[in-house]
Amino acid sequence: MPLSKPSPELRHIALRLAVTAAALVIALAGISRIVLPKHNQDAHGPNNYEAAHGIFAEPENSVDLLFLGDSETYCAITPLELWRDHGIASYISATGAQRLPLTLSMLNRVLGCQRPKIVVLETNCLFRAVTPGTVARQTANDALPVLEYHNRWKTLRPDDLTAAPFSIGTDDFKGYRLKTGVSAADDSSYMTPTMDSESIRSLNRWYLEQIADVCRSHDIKLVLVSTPSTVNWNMKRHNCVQQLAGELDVDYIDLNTGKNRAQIDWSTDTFDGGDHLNLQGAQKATAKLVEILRNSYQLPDHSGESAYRSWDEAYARYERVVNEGAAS
Amino acid sequence: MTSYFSLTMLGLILPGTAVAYQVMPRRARWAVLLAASYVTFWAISGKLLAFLLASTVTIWLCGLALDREIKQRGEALRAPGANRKAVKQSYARRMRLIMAAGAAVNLGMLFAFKYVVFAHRLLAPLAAPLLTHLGIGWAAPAAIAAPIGISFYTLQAVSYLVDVYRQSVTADRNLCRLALFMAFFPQIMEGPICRYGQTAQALWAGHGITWENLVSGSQRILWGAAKKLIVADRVNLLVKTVFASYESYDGGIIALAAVLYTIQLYCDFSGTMDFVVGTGRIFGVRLPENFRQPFFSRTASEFWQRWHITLGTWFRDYVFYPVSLSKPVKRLTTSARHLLGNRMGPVAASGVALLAVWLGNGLWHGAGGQYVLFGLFWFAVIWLGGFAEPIAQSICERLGIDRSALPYRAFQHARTLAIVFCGELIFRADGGWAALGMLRRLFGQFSLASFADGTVLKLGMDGADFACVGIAIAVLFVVGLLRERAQHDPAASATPAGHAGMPAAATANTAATRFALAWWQNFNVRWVLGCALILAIVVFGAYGTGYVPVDPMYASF
Repeated sequence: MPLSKPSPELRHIALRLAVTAAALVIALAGISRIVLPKHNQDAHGPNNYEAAHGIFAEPENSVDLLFLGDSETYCAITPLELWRDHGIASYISATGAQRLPLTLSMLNRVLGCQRPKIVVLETNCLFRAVTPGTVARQTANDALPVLEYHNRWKTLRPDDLTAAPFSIGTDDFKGYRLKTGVSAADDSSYMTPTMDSESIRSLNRWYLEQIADVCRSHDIKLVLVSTPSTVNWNMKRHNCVQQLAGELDVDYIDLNTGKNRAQIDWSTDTFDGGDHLNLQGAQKATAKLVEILRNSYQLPDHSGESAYRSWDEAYARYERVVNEGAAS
Repeated sequence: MTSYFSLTMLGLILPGTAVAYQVMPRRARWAVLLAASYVTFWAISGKLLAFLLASTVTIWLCGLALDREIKQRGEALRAPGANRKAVKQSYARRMRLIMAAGAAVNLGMLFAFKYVVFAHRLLAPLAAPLLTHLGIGWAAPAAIAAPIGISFYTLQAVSYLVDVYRQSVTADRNLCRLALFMAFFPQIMEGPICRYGQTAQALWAGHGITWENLVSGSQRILWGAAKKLIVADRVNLLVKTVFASYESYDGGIIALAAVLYTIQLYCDFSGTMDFVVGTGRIFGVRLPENFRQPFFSRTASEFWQRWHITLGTWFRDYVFYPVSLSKPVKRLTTSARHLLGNRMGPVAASGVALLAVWLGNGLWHGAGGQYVLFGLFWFAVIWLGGFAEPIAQSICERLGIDRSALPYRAFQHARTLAIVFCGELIFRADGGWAALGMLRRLFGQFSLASFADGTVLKLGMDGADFACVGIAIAVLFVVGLLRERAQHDPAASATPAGHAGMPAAATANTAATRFALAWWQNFNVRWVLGCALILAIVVFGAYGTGYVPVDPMYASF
């Protein structure tokens, strides 16, 4: 049966709805541009991921090694130690409880201004459930950032109308969050051998595949890294990621076990009972990781280059804070 | 899903149901609504859906049994030589028994879920030593999660049984229609408490969704979302801080928390009601209103005729009148008239029914000392108000005070608001003792020092939050005023504007009001305002980072 022609009234309704929807989207996009943070520091208003977004204020194509993941990442890797020892320009765009849709979004946005040679994905976020709700929220936030940053109406300044988003002020520690406290971990059942394997949700796997595809299409080496944690990591997860890495043809480094194991002292190197590493633990994990990376991949040494003078200044500030932290 | 304003409801269940409803043939549309209702219930309470089904089946069976008795009684009365008085008495006894059995099953389930732990706590000091002495164990029952909306649908179930018993409605032979009346998905969490005669047939009718209903219903939902997300969830930041540790704050802060909690409760509950009524409107069903500008009340009694109206009318029809008209209370009224006169006597005697209503009202909200105290507070205010009214009238006459003049009306509004704020403070407090402690601090340690030294801005809401809430309240006040001024216009409910919660301009009594209402009735103006409201909710809504989503407040009662 042929479809009947829509009545004029129905056409009028459809047109009204379409125009309204378009007007709303345009208005929300405009508001998004205004409320998106321009300053990557807390003092300038609520920026949910201030340290992670500092990368957008780094000079274009200056970062060679990008770290993505959740809080395990920004507590376990300290980029300025990589800078001091090897002149490697790295940045951590990790956020607390990061789920893979945000990881993918972050990667795509970073690739708009940086061309890293290696992307390290910390594997704890692979096990954070991605649900259709998570995907819907992330998609909406990406399309209309006002949904995420709407609360910035409270702290808007004149340069919110003119400056580019996240363009002002990078993070002194390049995404690392320094923690100096000590709270010993119980490591009696840490990495107990087993042949069992944990599984990840199909949506998580789909996002991991997307991340791998994006890296491949940009000629970037993707490396999965499990940083040390007695609370979050175990052999079941190791086995799972090992298998995933094989299936996706990406490299996998587990700093918790085997020949790549970082020599973490769980009585002194964690500030919260084995969940995250403190500064001492991060220094050990970073040293181990860079040793593996340098053996396997080419990462340029930018020491002494004038374009990277700000990294020396950042390191000086970092060293001062670290020494103060150690002294206290 | 924990809120009607969640992505699941607004993005999935409501639009999905509307589309499925519209494409179905009219005679099958009820099935879409019933399926959506049970899916929603299941999404919130899972297997506890069985208790809603049990309630539905019991009232259906009892309704049929009552119907059979009514028919048999008619036949018996028509029989030649029948002793009419004996027949009536006999059937009345049997019908009361059936009605009471059905009500007992439903109220029993409500009691089991909500009050067993409370009753155990009350009885423990007396019963525990006795039972222990007799060698019987006295273990504390564990609190269990109740089916969502059990307090609401149980009252609907009881009202259906009583209405069938009173023959104000005919028992429904159609189990599915009764099931839809009990479970209609927008009503599940917070009511309104509908009567069978109000909604059952309209829900079953399967009217198609019209453009007018879709627009006015959606606008009503938007209005509710704005109240909930911009105001209620924002003031929650301060309210939860102060009520959690009231010992740390002076009376000024406690007064502010009581005021903000009242605003929160109103915006949360009436905002949800806007969703419910708006959704009903989309499906062509007119659900009863639960709020009618309560803060414009001049007396405590009037407040309760405008706040949670369906609960108030339920207690009026199924508790107050039956108790008032019972033989013992009638006898008491007669004695009171002899003793206190025709004016004060009935007021004094009405205390019995009022006490039953307010204890019931308090306990309906939950099993806790604060709810008992809340009920007693309102009982005392309203009952004593009955005694005070003739005295106030006489004083005003002697002093020549015009009770209809603005200053006196303003005094009445202020007095009523003060009473409401105290009542809501008791209601929100973490237990009866905490309520008394807060009242003690409110009146005993009142100070504005926390406002002067800026402490007030460190309790979860900053200056921008207060400004946002202030502007929103000003808008709510203006809208309330417009509604109030054209309140008694029968034409209002027949217009699209009326459907969207606004009155018609016809009877507005000032030029400004007439202009505002006429403006509001312009479809394009309402359309643009709706879009502006969407933008306001997106930007000023209290959601996302820094905010904790607040479950609908009445859903836990």
